[in-house]
Amino acid sequence: MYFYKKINLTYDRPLYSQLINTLLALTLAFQFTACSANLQSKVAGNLNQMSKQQTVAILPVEIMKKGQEETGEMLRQGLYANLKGAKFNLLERYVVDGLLKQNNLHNPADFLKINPMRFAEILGADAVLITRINKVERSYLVIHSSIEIGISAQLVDTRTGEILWRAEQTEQDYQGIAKIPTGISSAILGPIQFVTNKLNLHRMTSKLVDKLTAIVKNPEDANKKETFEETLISSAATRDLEKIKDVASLKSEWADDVSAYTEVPPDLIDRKNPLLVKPHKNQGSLPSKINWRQRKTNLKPAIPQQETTITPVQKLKQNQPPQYTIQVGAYKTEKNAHQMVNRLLKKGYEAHIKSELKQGTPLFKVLVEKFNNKEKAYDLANKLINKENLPSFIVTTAR
Amino acid sequence: MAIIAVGCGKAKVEVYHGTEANWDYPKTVAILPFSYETSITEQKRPHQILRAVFFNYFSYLGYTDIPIETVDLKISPLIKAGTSIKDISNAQLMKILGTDAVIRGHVINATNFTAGIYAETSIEAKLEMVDLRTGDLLWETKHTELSTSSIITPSLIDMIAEQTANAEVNKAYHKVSESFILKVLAKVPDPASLRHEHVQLPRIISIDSNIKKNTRLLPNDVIYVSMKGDSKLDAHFDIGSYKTRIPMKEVSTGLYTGSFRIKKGDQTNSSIIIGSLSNKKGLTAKKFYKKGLVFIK
Repeated sequence: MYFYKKINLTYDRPLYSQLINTLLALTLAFQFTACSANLQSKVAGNLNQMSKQQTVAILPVEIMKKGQEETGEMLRQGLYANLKGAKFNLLERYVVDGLLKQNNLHNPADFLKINPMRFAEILGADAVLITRINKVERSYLVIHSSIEIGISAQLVDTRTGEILWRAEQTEQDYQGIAKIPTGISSAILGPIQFVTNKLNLHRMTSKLVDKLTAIVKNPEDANKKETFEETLISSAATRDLEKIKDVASLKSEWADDVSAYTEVPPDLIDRKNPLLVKPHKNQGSLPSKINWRQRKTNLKPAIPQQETTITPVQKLKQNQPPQYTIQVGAYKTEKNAHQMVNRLLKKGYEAHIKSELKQGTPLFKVLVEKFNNKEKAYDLANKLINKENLPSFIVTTAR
Repeated sequence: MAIIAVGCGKAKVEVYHGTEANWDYPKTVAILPFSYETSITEQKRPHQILRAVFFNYFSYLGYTDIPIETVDLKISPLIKAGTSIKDISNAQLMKILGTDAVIRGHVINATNFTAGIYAETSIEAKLEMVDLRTGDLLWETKHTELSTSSIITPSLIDMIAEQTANAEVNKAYHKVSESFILKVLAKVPDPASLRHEHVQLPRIISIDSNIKKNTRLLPNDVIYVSMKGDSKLDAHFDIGSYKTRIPMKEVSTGLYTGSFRIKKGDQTNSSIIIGSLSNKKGLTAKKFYKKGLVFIK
């Protein structure tokens, strides 16, 4: 009471009251933000399908600013330790880092742009966990200090590009006057110790990872709000799946339009043992050691390592054996096709152009030689690949 | 978060053989069951918690560690026969576990109590890593990790929170174990960078299938997949994530084949065929078949 009166002597009542109210409001605000966590997390139903037979690679953490490297390492280490209890296997960190290094993938900022399928082929993982530190803020204001960490994470199925889990989390904690200090020295030293002690950052990261990964470890516990309504496919994967679809459609169109052709995938070219070999004598049959029973099927069995996709031979007149020519390019403009023809003619090849309309658009195909014998066509195609570095198709053509 | 008296400073790890000069540093490691002083009651399980936490964090380093369940299973016949862990020779361990090294742990003391305004959880333990091939002690540490909460805790809110948490014994031990292990592992030699260049996935040369177009498949259609790569490995293929781990058989050296017959009720859209080849080290290579996608009505 005395204190109140004394104060009153110095300050106006409304001003004092305002000050007290402000302090109370600030204290309350601190209390509400204290140890606060903001977690937004959603999983896909397919996360339930993951088992110990599937492998997940936790990629290096992307950081937004210099100085966040240590937090990034802590986060990744925490993720590894925490997800050991998940239903899937984890690909060891040294394996992940070693393979990324071998493939010159050094910058975590690029990971989201990379097609997940590429990660599957590089790492052999069924899913990758891509994480980013959005924020690490430490503030110190004498009687109040705080640490705030914000991260985002995304688990992507490398086989489908599906996003299995996506989360964003912010964890904030503080030390200061609002926590009711146990003494004057605590009020002063507490905030300093809090913000400078590395262990606190570690504890916060550990707490953050605990909350973050809870749903991944037990996806069956996810409620409706925490589950994606629709399947989400990563944009990089969508792009490439569309490309595969388009290429497959285009190939089937070509197959319908242009008699038949044979493609030589560049990555399959073995220069010592040329890929373009004679068709397998048993084409259409199954490997003898497998006990496959041939049943009625709409599809033909695959023949490994063979170039053949020879299609509509029925378009050719049945009584006349087809001729074989090698297609080395198809151009939208005649000029470009002529350039290729001239280049080949100069080298002594008999090249010519065949033009046609593809969905109303002209297409100029550059073809080399014509053979009655398929083997000779293979030989030349081989030569064009090995000597001229020209990927080519063998095309059957009517006489 | 409390600024409580945590730990006894940094952990002191005596490293006798570092990774820098030793290119034959152990790669495979087994974490043996941790022993404990008889004064610690079994129910408290601090030794088990410390071991489990150690395993979780240790796997971040560049060692290949075998799961603790596998370790327990492999050594259980000896334990059942009455042999104490510390009495199993290095040669025996190497034979049973097949690893280059082992981690041994012994919990000397562990406390957990809450009394009035004071709460305490601590673990004192000794850890060491032994190269089974040479018998060399690679590193060792004796460390005490302590977490207390009392009137010296800077704030009342933290004090209450810490004391409540301390009452949950397992969680309290887990928390202290985490601090213990993180401090120790920060100083344990990590051979990760030495192994980066030696990581090699199995080789898949090519993959082929009879799926050539975006054709819709019907019941009884068969998808055939063949794959060429390193021989004598485990092979399987996936149809996206729709059907996984369909086994493939090695029909001739390095040539694997497998098939999947569509059944009534099967349904998938735009699934890609993926061939996988796994070696005994657990590394898997994958290759996508990109000439067509699987559509099943």
